[in-house]
Amino acid sequence: MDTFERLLKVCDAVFEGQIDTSIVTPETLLREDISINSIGLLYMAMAVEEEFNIKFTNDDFIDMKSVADVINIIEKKVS
Amino acid sequence: MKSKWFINLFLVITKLTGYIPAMLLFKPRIYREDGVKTRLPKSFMLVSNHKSLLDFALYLAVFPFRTIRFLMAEVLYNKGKFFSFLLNSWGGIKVEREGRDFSFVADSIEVLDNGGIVGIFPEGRLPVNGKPWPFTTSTAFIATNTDKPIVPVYTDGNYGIFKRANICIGKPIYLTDYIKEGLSEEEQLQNLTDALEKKIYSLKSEIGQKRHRLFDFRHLPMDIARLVCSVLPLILRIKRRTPEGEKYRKRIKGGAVVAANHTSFADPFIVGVTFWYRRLYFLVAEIVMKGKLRSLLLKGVGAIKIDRKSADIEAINKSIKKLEEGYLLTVFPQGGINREDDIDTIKSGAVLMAIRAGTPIIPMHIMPCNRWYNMRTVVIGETIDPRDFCQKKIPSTTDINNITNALFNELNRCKNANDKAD
Repeated sequence: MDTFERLLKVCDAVFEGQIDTSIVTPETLLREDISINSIGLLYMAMAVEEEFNIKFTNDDFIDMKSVADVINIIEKKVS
Repeated sequence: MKSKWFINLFLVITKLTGYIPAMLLFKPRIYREDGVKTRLPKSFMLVSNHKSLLDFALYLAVFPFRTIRFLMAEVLYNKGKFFSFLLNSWGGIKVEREGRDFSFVADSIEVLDNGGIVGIFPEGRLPVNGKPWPFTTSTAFIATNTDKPIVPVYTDGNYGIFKRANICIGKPIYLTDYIKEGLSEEEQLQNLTDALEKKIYSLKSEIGQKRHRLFDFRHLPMDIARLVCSVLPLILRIKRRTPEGEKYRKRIKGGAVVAANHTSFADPFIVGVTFWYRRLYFLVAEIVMKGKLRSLLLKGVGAIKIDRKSADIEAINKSIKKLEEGYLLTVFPQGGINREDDIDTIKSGAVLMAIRAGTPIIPMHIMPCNRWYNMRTVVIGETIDPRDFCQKKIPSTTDINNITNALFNELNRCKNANDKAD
């Protein structure tokens, strides 16, 4: 399972169908396209930390605009 | 399977030759649940979380005078004839994890019925990226088919030459005490497995609690503040009550989030006085930490700066770490001072941190007072354990909202009790 698929799985677990993950692509914008607010983003980030065993910084949060940004940050931290 | 006398002889030789190297490698520090050294029964099931392949060697060293027959995965037996011989000689009970051979259940029950000890790692395999596997139901199945107790044990897996392993041995329990009526057989097994998992991981907080010294140079400013807080009740008159109006006598152990209402700048002192016997961290808004001297002083006494305008994940992770280390963390979930003392809404940050750290939440209502010398009451509500609401590794937004609602209701119950007492 690649990072994108694992990320979608985490989103499914956190948002329990509130977000239609079938329409999510790496280009999807988190706030504008799937309406994740800052609290939602925090929940998701905590779950991603648990899933990938990584720790985010506040700067990472500023850079998280799209799904691709999240994937890039995760892959940088995992490697 | 080797004969009993051969296994005993082989284990004695292993322990005699391996005890000193094992002690040097593990340097185990053993804790007991509630600090009480309970005499272990003659025959029991030793059930532990699984951190490393060395767990087996650790328990041989920790229980040198007991013969423990461990359940061992079939993959270990496939690592060559010599290794297989060693496992058999150590009395290993072979488990076919993927197959349909459940003879290990009968073997385990036979060992227990003959007055022996069976060691089980119910996670069945080693953690991946530090994440433990969920417990399998076979331990609960064995436990319900024998009258022997379970001794839950938690290890932090901190093994190495320059490290020290911390182990907490729990009080013996009978899984039958956790049986819930009206469940199917499968649901009952899952319920007992969940109870066992919760019990073992709850021992983790005992380790954090006991590791702290009474006074520690690293926490000098905080300890001075605690000392001041311990004598403050002579000036600040504070009564600690339960929502039922009784005196609050409970001592909080291990990491926990204290979630209190916030009506004045005195509230952190009131929480400090209430829990003066514990080292206490508290989340402080960025605006309060302005100025180098003030920031330094507040940090010294346990303040963790949080930026309320953004999702400050660094502050949250720092707080979670403190909780995991067994400290108390004060959070004012209303997010700021509310002089009206209405608890209309609360934020979910406190809940989120408690879930991640696996610690309980202690709701607390502080009676607002106009004058500092007035008698004030703090009402400390029923402890909320997030694990009662959500057993999943990744909580959903619904789980977080449910626990936040429970905290909201308990805070209001405390407030109502405090209003009545006023």
